[in-house]
Amino acid sequence: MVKLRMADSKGWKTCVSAMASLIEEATFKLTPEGVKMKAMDPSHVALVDFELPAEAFAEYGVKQTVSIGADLAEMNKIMARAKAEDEFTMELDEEKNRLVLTFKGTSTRKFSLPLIDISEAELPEPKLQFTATADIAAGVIQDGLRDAEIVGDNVRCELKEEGFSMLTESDTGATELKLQKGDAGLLKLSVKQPARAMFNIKYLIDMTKAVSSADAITINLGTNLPIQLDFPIAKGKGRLRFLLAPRIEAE
Amino acid sequence: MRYAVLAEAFEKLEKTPSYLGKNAVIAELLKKTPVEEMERVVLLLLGRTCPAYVSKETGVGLQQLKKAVAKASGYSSSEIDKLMKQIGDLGEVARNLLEKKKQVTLFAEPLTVKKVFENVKALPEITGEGSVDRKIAAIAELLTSSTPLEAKYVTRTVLGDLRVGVAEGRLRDAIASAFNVSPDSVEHAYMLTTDYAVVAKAAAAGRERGLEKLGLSVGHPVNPMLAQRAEGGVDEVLKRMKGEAAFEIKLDGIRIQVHKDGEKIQLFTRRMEDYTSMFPDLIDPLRQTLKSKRAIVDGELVAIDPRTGKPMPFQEVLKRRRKYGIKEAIEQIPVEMYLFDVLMSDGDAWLDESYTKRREVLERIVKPSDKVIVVEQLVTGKREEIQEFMSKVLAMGHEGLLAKDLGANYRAGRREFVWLKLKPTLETLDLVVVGGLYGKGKRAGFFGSYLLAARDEKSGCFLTVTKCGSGYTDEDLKELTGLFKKIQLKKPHPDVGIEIECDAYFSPRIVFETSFEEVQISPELKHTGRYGLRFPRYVRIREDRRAEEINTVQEIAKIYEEQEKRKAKVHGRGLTQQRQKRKVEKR
Repeated sequence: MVKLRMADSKGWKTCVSAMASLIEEATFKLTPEGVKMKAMDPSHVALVDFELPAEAFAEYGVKQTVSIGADLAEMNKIMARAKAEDEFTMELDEEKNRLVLTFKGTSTRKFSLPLIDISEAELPEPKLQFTATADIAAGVIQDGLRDAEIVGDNVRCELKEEGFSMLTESDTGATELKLQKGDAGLLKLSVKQPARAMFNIKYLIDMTKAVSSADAITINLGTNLPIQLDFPIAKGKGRLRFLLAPRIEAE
Repeated sequence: MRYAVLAEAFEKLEKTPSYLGKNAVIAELLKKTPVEEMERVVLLLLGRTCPAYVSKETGVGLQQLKKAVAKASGYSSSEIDKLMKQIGDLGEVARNLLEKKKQVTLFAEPLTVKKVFENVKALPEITGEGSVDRKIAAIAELLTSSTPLEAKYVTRTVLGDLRVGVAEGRLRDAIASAFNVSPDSVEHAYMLTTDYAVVAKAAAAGRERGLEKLGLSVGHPVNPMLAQRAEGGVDEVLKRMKGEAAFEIKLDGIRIQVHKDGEKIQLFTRRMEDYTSMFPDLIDPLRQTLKSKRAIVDGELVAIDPRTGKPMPFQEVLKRRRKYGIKEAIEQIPVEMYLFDVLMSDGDAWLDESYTKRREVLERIVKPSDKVIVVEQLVTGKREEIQEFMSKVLAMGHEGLLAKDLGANYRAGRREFVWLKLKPTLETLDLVVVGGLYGKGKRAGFFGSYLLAARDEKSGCFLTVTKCGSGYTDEDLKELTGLFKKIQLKKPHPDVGIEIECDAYFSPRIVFETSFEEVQISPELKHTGRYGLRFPRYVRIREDRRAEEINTVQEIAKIYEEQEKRKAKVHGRGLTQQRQKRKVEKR
């Protein structure tokens, strides 16, 4: 009997929403230690790396490792119906090959979702030499991306000793966002070597839209390397990480 | 198997114009292909993911494909449009852009034949909410893992236009040389299965033995047996059939093969297209008429004009079914099915049995109704009886008789002298359209004449034999121009030998039935077929005929010889020629 319970629905809701914007189907690997999911979008441009350890759950009943394939779009629709404060339970109905999701608040509501078979491909662990990192308020990034979207398709992200910046230029104009040391939005900054790279705005918007604007996003950058975004989940116990491949800057 | 192997073969094929050269490339590819990948490779080679008789549209248009290319390469749609105008082929555009792609990927996985096949095959299956985006994602997934060369052919495959000149017919010789089997065995296996993917796999796995094992199966159309022309009339028939034959009405309908599997009925045309949905009014009658649980029977579907009680030209029927919707058409023009042969019933294949035996079986398994009829047959060797039958049939409005050798087996896909067409009128030729010339005056803006070609038996190429500028109604001119504009090419098609300059060139796909007065040696040899037709006249489009099935240059040469022989006689007697001329005028 596989059963997972969380005190509220908020965390799972946020994670599923972020994942669903990039990938359609996912295989969650449930081990006695916790839940893991790692997948790439079909274009191989973005990667989601999700981990939630057993201690992040109020109840964690997994005796042996199982893989659960689910349609993320469907799961996201269901999670959208949950209230953030609802107690949330996930159970595996092995007989019917379904996943049962229960929300307990002022009433108890049950959904079930058919499991799907997904071919599991082992993804290699990318070794990336990031040279700069920063913790930035999610709201600042979300705003900056919405600005950039007006102007173009791509945004150049840069981390220097002075701070963080996002720049978009196109035929229709330009926009720039700057965060300097001491600004309220810049929570932490550590630069071994200045780094910059360009990314597709649409992907970044999809990745960041689920997180609440008050949370901090940890950014890792290296010049012309993928960007790594980490979101705080389960009070720092878990991991929701995105990797996005850069675009080649036009000369 | 890596998709790169296939992409490289495509590239070689595109650059190799000669028939033998292409064959060598295909044979080499097939030799490299593992047996378990064979069906996928052969289908992709033909630019498909299903055998030809299954018609499925990917549902992906040029615009969606452009978006997928944009997504994979990181270029904007306007940049793609710009390049598209310069290059004109999205495949080349994709190749071009992926060579300098702007979007990096996290991991590059080499593209496999299986992956391409599965993603492309799944496209028609993607439906419902957000299906357009999911289709684009499925294609972009392939393109992001593609090398530039692979991207070119993935794009063209999805577009349904490979442009490398691999016609089905070429596969016969390529399979034969790749697996060291005889071309005849390959062809025979194909005639039974209508699927070169299955044939190639069987040849790869079991050589000749593997091919022998392939047989009929319900749901897979068999290439129908065809009839030759009896140029020499009743004399020729009786001579070839050793004094006695089965005579049947030659119905001017559409050749249909009926497949019955329990309650399921499927109708296939001569070109192995599934026409089941076109004739819902026949399904139930066929279900009840065929007593066997499973059967493949052969026959002619005929439309009877309720006002005259006479058969109606089939083009008309198809047109109406398309134009007015099937429901109304069923009431206006009812159709009937005339059965004349059986290929299998329940467990037994009857292909190798004599026609007499097959007819016996057919009569046993069919319980005739008013919609499904076993065709009337006269077994005789007496001239008077044949003539009488012919007159009766002509009076009914049919075009002639078929004479069938009672002892002959069913020769799938073959046109041999064991089935003969007996017609009282002058023959026409089926020729494929390869070029067009704009008309003048009243015909300005339309193609006023078309360049027609016959097939060369030796090379499989199409060689021109006549320029046909008469026989068209104003409506024909308009419709044909519309039709041909859609398949217009800038240069002559690689399979066509052409020396006359045209305003437009076409893929050899559309077949004209053309009447003529005489065959002559082409003046100044301007036609690559060496022969020319005098007074060619357009009769109609032969929708049921593929370019591979048209008259050959060799047949025209034979007509020329016969005609010259006849002329020599006529000069002696002076009568027959006049009679012949009159017939031509009547047409």
